[in-house]
Amino acid sequence: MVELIRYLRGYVKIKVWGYSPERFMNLCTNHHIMLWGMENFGDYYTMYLSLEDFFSLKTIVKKTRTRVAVLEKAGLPFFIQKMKKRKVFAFGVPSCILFLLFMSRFIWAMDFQGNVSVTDDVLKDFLRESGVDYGIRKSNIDMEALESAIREEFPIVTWTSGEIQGTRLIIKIKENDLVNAAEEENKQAGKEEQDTMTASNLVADCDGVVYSILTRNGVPQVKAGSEVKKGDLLVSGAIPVTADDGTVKNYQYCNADADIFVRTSKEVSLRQDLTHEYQNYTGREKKIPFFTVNGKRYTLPGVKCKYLKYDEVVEESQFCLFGQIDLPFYTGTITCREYLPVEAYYEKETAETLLYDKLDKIIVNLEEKGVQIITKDVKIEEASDFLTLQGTLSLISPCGVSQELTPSAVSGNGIEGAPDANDNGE
Amino acid sequence: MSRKEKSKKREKEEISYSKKEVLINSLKLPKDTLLGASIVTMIGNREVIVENYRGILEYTSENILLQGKSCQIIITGDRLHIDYYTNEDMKISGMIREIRYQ
Repeated sequence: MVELIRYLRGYVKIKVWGYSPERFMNLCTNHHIMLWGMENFGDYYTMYLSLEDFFSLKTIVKKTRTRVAVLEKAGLPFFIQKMKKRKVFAFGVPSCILFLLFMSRFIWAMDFQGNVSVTDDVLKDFLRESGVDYGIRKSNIDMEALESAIREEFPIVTWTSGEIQGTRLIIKIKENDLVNAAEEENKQAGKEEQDTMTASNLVADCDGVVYSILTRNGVPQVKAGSEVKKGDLLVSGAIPVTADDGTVKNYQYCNADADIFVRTSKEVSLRQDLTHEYQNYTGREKKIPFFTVNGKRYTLPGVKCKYLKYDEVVEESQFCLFGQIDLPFYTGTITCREYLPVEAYYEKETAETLLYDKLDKIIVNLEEKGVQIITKDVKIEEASDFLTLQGTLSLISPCGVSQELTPSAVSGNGIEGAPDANDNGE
Repeated sequence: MSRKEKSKKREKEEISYSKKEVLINSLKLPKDTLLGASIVTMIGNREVIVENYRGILEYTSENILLQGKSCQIIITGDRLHIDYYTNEDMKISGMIREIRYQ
């Protein structure tokens, strides 16, 4: 505190020598001049005193026949004097502080913790859509609304917490740990969709012969062995209520639900060229540094890749200030790898294996969808410079999609999707 | 005890304490203000704070001679340095070896 006051008032370090320096000190104290930091260097003394007191030394110096010289000047009055000569600097320092204070009212970095299946990019995009982006004012963020918006947008997220540390927005997330959470979610979404419908039919989404049908809800319109075409009604959601005389009195509506498997066939046609081109890398590489500003990539002038044919591997990293502030600048390198295109021929056997591999991929894809493959009847034909694989796969695949049923249309004149009570095969 | 012996004893007491001192002692008044005695406070052997003095008579890095109101105080040591010096008190720092009154 004392030092602060000394600094504000300004002080000097003086050197005193001559006839009687001790008397000089005593007279100073008698005149209520405070001295500090006194040191003896043999024939002279150094000490500090305030700027104001320094100007009242004249009489004392005369009386004691000593001499005084200023060694150092310190404090605010001297600083102001100096700053008068450096106006730009004097203006720059406070404006820099003001700039910092102003900029620290915005968000300059975002951090996500705890997210695994919802990636940083997805979260960033979502935040951008909901108006939270780099450069937004801290006070404009409604944290609670943002947290609940994240939970609503990503049902897998069970808990969110947002906080602001300095200019960094930290979003902490906990995800549902169930393995098949995403699948369940899809199922639920489907169910919800169905729930929104008041009544629905099941109609065929493929051609074929019904292999098995298990109805849970509704009136089945087909049975095992009957042939169906795409768009045919499989299970009706309108259940007829018959009167005592056997006539249809009314309809009860429900969401038709059934497991229907249809025996169907799928045409497969694949082609494999015998000639193919592959890239023979020469091993020559060239690295080109670059930086990206505002989505535009700049390289140094004169640094170019002169290879005839090459591919590029880009490594990019965001520029980060003090490990805290992500700036919208990216730096990185482009590695150009030279290659020579080489034309080559496949042996017939190799080409065949490639074709079978392709077929296997199709089959695996189908099986993932719950399709059962009964037989596959394929053959390979050879042309001049390519091989073709043609054939049919007979499958048992699940069939049926929900289609909304308008009760008024059914009860009106019994046209679309309305089962006739007598025509009901069951 | 005879009268002579009693008067001798009184004489001895008067030599060691002046009347003023006896009075201040008996009334328990502060001696520094009334007698003008210097207060020397030592903190370890590195710092000395002196109050109630008239001025500095001599100051070198080995010796500091202070004029008190009734006596002189000599502080001897190495690298003696006066941290501050005002009308009321002063602080001396350095390696202090000896403080002597004369």
